[in-house]
Amino acid sequence: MNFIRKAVKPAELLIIAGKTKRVTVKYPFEKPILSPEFRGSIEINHEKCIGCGACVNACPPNALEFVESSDKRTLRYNIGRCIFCWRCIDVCPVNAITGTRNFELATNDPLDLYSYIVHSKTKCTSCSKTGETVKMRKYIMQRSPVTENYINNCPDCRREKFINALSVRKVGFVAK
Amino acid sequence: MLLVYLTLGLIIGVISPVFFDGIERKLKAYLQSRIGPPITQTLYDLLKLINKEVKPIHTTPFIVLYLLSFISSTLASILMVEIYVYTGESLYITLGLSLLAISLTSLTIAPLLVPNPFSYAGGMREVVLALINESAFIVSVTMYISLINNLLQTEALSIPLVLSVITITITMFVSGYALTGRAPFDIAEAEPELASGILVEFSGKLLAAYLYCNLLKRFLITLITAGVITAPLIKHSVFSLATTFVLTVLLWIVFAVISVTLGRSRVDLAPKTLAKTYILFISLSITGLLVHAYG
Amino acid sequence: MLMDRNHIIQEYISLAKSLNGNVTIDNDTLHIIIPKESLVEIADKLFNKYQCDFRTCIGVDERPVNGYFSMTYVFTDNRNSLYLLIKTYIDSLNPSTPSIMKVVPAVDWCEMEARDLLGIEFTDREQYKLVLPPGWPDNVYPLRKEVPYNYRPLLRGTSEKISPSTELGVIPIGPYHPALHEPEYFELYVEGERVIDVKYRGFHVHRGIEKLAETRMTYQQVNFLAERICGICGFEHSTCYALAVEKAAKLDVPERAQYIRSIILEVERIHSHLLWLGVAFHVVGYDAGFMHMWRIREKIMYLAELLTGSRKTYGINLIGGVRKDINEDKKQKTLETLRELEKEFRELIEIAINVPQVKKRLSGTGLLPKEDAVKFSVEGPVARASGVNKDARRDQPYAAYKYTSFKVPVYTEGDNMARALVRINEIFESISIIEQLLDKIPRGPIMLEDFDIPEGKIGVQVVEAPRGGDVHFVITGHGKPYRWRVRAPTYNNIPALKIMLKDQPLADAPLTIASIDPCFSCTDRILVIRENGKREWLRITTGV
Ligand code: SF4
Ligand code: SF4
Repeated sequence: MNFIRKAVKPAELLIIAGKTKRVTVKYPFEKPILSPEFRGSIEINHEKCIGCGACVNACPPNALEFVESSDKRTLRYNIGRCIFCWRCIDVCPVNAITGTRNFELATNDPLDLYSYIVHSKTKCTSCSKTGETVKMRKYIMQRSPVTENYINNCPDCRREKFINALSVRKVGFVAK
Repeated sequence: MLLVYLTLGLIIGVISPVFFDGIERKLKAYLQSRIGPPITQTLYDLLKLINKEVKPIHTTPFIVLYLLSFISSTLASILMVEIYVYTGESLYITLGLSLLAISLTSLTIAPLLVPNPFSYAGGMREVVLALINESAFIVSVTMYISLINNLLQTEALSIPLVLSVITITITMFVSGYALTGRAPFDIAEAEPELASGILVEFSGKLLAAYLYCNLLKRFLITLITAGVITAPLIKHSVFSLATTFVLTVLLWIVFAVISVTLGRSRVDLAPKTLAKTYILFISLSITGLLVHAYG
Repeated sequence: MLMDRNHIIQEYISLAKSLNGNVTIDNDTLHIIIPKESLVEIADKLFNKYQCDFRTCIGVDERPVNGYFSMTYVFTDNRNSLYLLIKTYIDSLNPSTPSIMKVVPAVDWCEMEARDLLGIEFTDREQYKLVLPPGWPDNVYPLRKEVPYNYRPLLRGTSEKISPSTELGVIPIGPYHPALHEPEYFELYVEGERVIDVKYRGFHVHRGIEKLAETRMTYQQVNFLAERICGICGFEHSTCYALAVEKAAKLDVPERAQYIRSIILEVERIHSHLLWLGVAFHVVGYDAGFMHMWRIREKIMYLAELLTGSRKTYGINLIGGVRKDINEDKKQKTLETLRELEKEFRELIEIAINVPQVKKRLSGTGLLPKEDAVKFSVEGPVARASGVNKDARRDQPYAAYKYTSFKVPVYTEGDNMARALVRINEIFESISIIEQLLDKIPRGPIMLEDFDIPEGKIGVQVVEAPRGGDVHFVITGHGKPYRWRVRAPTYNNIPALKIMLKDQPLADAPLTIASIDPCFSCTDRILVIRENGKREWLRITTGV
């Protein structure tokens, strides 16, 4: 008896098959089931982003990168490299990045994979070198109650001016 | 009239295997909880392959020759079986079986001509299986026909004879099933170890032809099994022919379901098991017959 | 050899002292620095007398720090939860050290890897090129600190001929083969349908991961890279990396984070084993079993997505904790899913194991005797199916495993069936582990706030992945690891395949290869060149 039961055991698969409904779906006509926690591609809010670069530093596969030019700093997002880890969302100080549940990202035109946010850079009033983005400076000024005199200078000029000012105050002239 | 039916039967024989395979795939998909491809998928596959280029090897002409020989003998065999079912003349089934032997041989030899280790290994496996199954199938079909006629002619129910018929029927089904090359006897094209074995060097039209030949083989074997069951029971010729076709479809489906529940065997296991089963069942059947005749 | 832990530590110390070694103890790790003349002897004592488990060896270019190369051999004493790091310094001008292969055969590959990548020569053994592609320039050793990570020599494509053999049939399996799914090459010499010899050629897909992490990533970024070492058991790698760094930096990670790590690790084990069973059924031609196994697996994939945000490569590990919490709602959902899964799996596996072909082809094939299992230091289910009772979750408790109780299934048959049964039992154990953890999970933060990682510290961790122990070795550096070495379990399991494949039917070869659940891309992690030898980058805008 046992022998027979064992022999027909494989046929029980048919019962299981009968019980379970079809699990595949007619994608793309039917959508696959996504859990509420699913991490998809990200969206960066042009208005909010200040071009601080926190996300660029955190992004593991360099999907977010700065492309620099003389007076512009462009934040470039490359979906092709993105691993959808949402680390950038964690680190963005102004919550400019939101995660979407979008995963259908294939495209015929490779250029579609990129999105850009262009920031203009600040110019040092003394030496006309460019520095951080304009928005970033504004952000710093809003956050720190004391607005520095040298905010419009690049870090180099700022240091120099500060030292000069100090030495003027201490010894009365600019030390060479 | 016979001519019309036969032509019709032949056309069905040529076209239907493609769709039967589609049905089989859909059924398998259902049993695996998938949606699966449409029934016409096999047709699409073949059409697509036909439009692809062939990567010829130096033995391609011989392979084509063997495939042609297979197709012609198979079609002739299908015709013979249909005439047998229509007329009930045993001569035709004998012809059909001998044509079957020729066609199976051609199909078995074709892959051996491919100079590739996978193909060769797969081809050798096929030969081993064919040796056992072919003989068992032909023997059991012939025995079945004579036994069933015997059984139908005897008035009193003879238990030994009935048992004899049952065992030989089982042999016929098992060997027929094994000849169709479904799991667990699909060892010749075993994908995991042999990279699809006998199919490995075939491409484009040649692959399409080879795949089609395999479907045709399945059809012929199922048809013979269905035919020898119907013909002695139903004497009305046209009705008999129609029943045979319906039975062919049913058998095909049953075979497909069986194949879903099983895995692939191994070349050192399958022939041994099969040979043992056949010898046991055929000798049981003969014993039954002897008991009936002399007991 | 049941001994008091302190006693055995003393014994190791006196052993090292007697060989002019220098020992420092750091929690569960014994750092033993030994002159290279005594290397063979101490390895022999540890491996053969104390029956320590050999895990891997690591070559490090320490020249910028102290002017030497070094080799570190990682042994673990599984009974006493100890890591033993045997380190020897090697002169940088003419780097050469005695090989310990005579006493520890499993060291074969990792020594050759150190030779290829760091240029350390090993005496008393046959040396060959293992990792670097043919045609790689001499005297360029990619893991040396002066070689930039993006160094790409011009290589011309070469071809290796199948060795001409007249008497035997040669069946090539790979580099591309339907049974492998990954580029790896086995050459099977067959007589009829019987395999009588095997040649293996691997390391086709080096990705330069270690170099990449050491040069251009930060500590936290490496977590995500580590997760991508393997597509199936990536979370084990990122956990292992995080644990190793945390150990080196002595970080006290919140308990809740450790619980969550353990839970996700077990989720991954379940899905990996289900996947393996599916593949095994497919290889023996039982496709219905394959499909249904994967149908069940889909539940656990959904669960993983619910708990972490992604079906695979979960991306929730960071040094110092995890990024995603498990709330009450998810907990209930998890328990519910696991109950369903357990029921369906039990039903299905009983049917599948009773399919005559599955049973016949698994039993008695791919035999690996215990002696060979020990000799090759095989890992995971392969070891446990051959009677080697080791499981890092129990032996080197990490994350939250010390709070759970579970059985470690061990079989002595050493065949493919035993390996399948180990995995089947482990699925049930994993389900129970998750239930226990969810029951006990403490409240609290899931991430350590503000911490420093001091430089020059060493951390080593073994994490039991579905395929066996992952070993991660980290030397901390400035903002990123100074040296990060990964050893995936398949690295140790593949050499054992030679034994398993020999004298078996050809038809079972793919099954046996599959039975170690190989993960070739985890095994090959080191280099930068594409297989065709061309130096092209895939450019998104222009294509190749
Ligand atoms: S989701 Fe991850 S990979 Fe993608 S842009 Fe953000 S940080 Fe980079
Ligand atoms: S503001 Fe946010 S999005 Fe913009 S650069 Fe900084 S971190 Fe990135």
